[in-house]
Amino acid sequence: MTPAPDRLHGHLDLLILSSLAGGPMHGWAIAQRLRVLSASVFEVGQGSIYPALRRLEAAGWIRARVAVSEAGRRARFYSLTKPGRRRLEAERADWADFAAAVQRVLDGA
Amino acid sequence: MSVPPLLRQFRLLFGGRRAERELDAEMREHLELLETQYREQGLDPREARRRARMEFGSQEPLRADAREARGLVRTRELTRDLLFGVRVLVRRPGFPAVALLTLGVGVGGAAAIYGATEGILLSPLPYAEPDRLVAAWQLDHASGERQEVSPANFLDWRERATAFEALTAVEPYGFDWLSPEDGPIALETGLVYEGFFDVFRAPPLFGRTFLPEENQPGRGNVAILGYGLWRSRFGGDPDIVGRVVTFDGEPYTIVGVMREDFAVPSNEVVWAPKVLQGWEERSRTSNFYAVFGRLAPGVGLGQAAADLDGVAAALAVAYPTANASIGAALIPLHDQIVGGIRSALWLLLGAVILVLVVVVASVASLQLARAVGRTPEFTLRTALGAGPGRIARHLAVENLLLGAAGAVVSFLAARVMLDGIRALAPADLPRIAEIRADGDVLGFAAAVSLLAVLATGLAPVLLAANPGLQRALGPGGRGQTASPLLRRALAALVVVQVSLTFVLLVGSGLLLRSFVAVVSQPTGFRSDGVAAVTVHTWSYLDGGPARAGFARDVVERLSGMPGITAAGVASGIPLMEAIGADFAPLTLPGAPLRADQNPPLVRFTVVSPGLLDTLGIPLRSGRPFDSRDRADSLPVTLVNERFVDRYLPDREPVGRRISLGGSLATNGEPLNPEIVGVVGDVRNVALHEAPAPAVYLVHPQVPTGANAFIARGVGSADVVLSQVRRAIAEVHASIPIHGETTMEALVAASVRERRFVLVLLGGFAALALSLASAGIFGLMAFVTAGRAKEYGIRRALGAERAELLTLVLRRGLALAGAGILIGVATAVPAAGLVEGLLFEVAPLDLRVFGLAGLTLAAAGAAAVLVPALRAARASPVEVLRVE
Repeated sequence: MTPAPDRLHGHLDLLILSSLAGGPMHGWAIAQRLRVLSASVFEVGQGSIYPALRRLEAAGWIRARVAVSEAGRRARFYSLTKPGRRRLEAERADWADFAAAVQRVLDGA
Repeated sequence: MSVPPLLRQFRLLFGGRRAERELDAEMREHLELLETQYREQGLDPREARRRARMEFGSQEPLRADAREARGLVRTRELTRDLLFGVRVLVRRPGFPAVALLTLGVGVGGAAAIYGATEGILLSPLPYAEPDRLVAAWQLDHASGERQEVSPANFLDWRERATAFEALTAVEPYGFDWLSPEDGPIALETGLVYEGFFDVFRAPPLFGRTFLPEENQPGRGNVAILGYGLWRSRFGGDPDIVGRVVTFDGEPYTIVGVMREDFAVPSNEVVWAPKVLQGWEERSRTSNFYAVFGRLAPGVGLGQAAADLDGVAAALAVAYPTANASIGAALIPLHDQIVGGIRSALWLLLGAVILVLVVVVASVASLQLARAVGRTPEFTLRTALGAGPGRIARHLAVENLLLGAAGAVVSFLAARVMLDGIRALAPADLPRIAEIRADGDVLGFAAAVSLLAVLATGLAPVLLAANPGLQRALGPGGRGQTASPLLRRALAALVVVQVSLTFVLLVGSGLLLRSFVAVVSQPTGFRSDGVAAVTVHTWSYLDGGPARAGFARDVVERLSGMPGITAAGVASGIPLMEAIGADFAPLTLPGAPLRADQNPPLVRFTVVSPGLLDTLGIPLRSGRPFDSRDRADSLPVTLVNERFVDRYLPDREPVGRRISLGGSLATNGEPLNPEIVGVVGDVRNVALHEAPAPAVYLVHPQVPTGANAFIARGVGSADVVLSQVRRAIAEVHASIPIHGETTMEALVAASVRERRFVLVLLGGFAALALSLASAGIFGLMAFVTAGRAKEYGIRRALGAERAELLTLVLRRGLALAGAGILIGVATAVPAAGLVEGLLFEVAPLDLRVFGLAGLTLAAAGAAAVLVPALRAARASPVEVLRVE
């Protein structure tokens, strides 16, 4: 059902959390940031960040506040909560371990 | 962050509509921005919109995803299922009502019994490491009897035995006390040795326990109250510690109150330090200490018993006159406390299991019948698109609801019934205060109810999920009857119920016959209008003459009171072991004992001349005591018939002399009274215990222990009781009352335990009988309803009504008969288990078995009568018209 390719599946949460580490953003900005920074490697339907945002909100890792965007529109701005920040650090460490492990295997040590 | 998560959940759940709107707005905005971007790149509006949509993805699954992310779907569906379940149960309340009634009475009753037995039998004693606590007794190898421990033996045991962390003793005593409400009374008292409370590791509720130095002379005027006594006699005053109270005419400071569950020997006592008298250190012949110990760490019961046996053997060698045949016995404290009621409680626990099986069988047949009745509903819902999983889930929710309701109902029922049990239980039932409807009872009721409903609810769930099974069990097309498979399943359940009911009926029948046999035993004394009051005289009246004078005055005053027809005083009361059960070694002149023989102990009671008449004990031959028998005349005695049978079977007893030693001896010389008459036997110990040989001595000649005043009046025994109290108070205002009772109450109390077990088991049997009858009725009604057409056709083909009636009756009775046969096979071995509780009834009593069978057969016939009559009324015309 999720239109994300397998490579992204499961990491979207981490990517969103890390995007918000720099400060509050609205959904559009998060999607653009993911697209630009990943050089379009993550070709996902941009809409799929919204269920992910709801999931993270329900888990208490991010919270939403309605504010006026740069473009002068009212939008939901998402920011990390304290548990979200901890979660991000944990996921980041996990990812680093995982990536390093994969790298070691690929290097055929 | 404790409140925000809650708030967030709440908002997500209930702010559903708003959340959807917000999500829509957010996604719409995103799409618009994408579209704008593509338009700015030069795409035409339609293409821009297409690209934007593609890039964003399909909106509907995203919305569903977001909802799922909020955890809404499951909650909403669960609520819907629950509401649906409630609606189904409430719309047709017959089934849930019957099921809840069955669970409430059956499981509730079982939980109550479980609570009572668990509290008494299974739960550990409320002391630290209770497995290490033991009671120690002297064991008389000559008679095989357990007896209390003598002071000197206890002191030696304590000093020499090594297997114990500590040994301690309590001496039963009575403090005289002037009660603000009841005047002078004697309080049950325990004089305790050093470390008594430490052995049990029992902390006080208030204050402290005794200090080691308080067992020294001059330091012992401190006391600790038992919880029950503190509440009943001292108003539960929380500031009692430090108060000075006068016991035995001396000031005692209350230093503590023990907790409710500390009950050695009960919680209605006062404890004071035992200050050892010089003579006691050498006393080995009078034994009255209750000894308790805590095993040393790592020491087993057998090891400790061997250790104490060794000490006792050494003492037997060192002090042959007193200790020649005295050994020691160790009993785990739990066994000692629970003692006699144990087998009865195990019996009840067994009955609980039988009743539970009957209850589960009932609920199972209800569930099966209902599931089959709902087959059309399942078929319809399947046709409308409900998957088997969905229907199974509905049924599971229904069953959960029913099980939860059953748990609540049966717990409430258990609480009510536990109160009933407590009210019905003998007051001296051990650990009765510890019984309450607590978490264990709740857990039992809840677990059994839920399990019963869920397990039996499996059948309908399977049915719903399996259309093939529906066809196999359900009523088929036109003219067909209920399927054989279902009928067989229901019949098996009914047979199980009937057979277990038979076992319960046999058990109650055996106990009932025993009860009737016990209460119809002749007590040997009159109890109508007879009351007794016991007093303590020793600290108020100095010496024999003063006590004798007091007793004579009270009896005289009593005899002059209106309505009193006879009065007397005695050293003991029948059926009241605690008061003055005294024994003396007996020798018969002309029948010398062999050197290795101990003289038999014979029970003696000291009475005033009028006492035997007061109790209506009949004179069989010779003369009664009378005014000829003075302190300075020749000593005389009356013996009972059993005495004559045992010791003087071939000779004329009247005129012979007997010789009584022990406490009746003066300066080593035994008392040698002449038998002047023979009186009837009295059951002194218990109604179910045959009378033992006994002798009566007359009061002026034996000055000891005249402390029970007994009177008979024309009015009620309660009036007589108050008259006895008044007479005592009029003669001596400060003599403390030790105990009081009517003889009828005493007789009733002596069978209360038996009655208790009988009523509970009988209640179970009645419950099982009604459930089994309902089972037979339900099954036969179900079967005959399904066969209405068949009966109609039979009628049309010429069958008589009577034939149809017997056809159905026979089928119902066959069910009952099969159950009874299996029941007999089960009850025969089971009856052997209750043998210890029976009295003058054999476990395989034919009358009980026969009556149980007849009762079940009659109940079965009654249950099947209505369906049978309905079958017989089947009208051939109607059937033909329908066909």
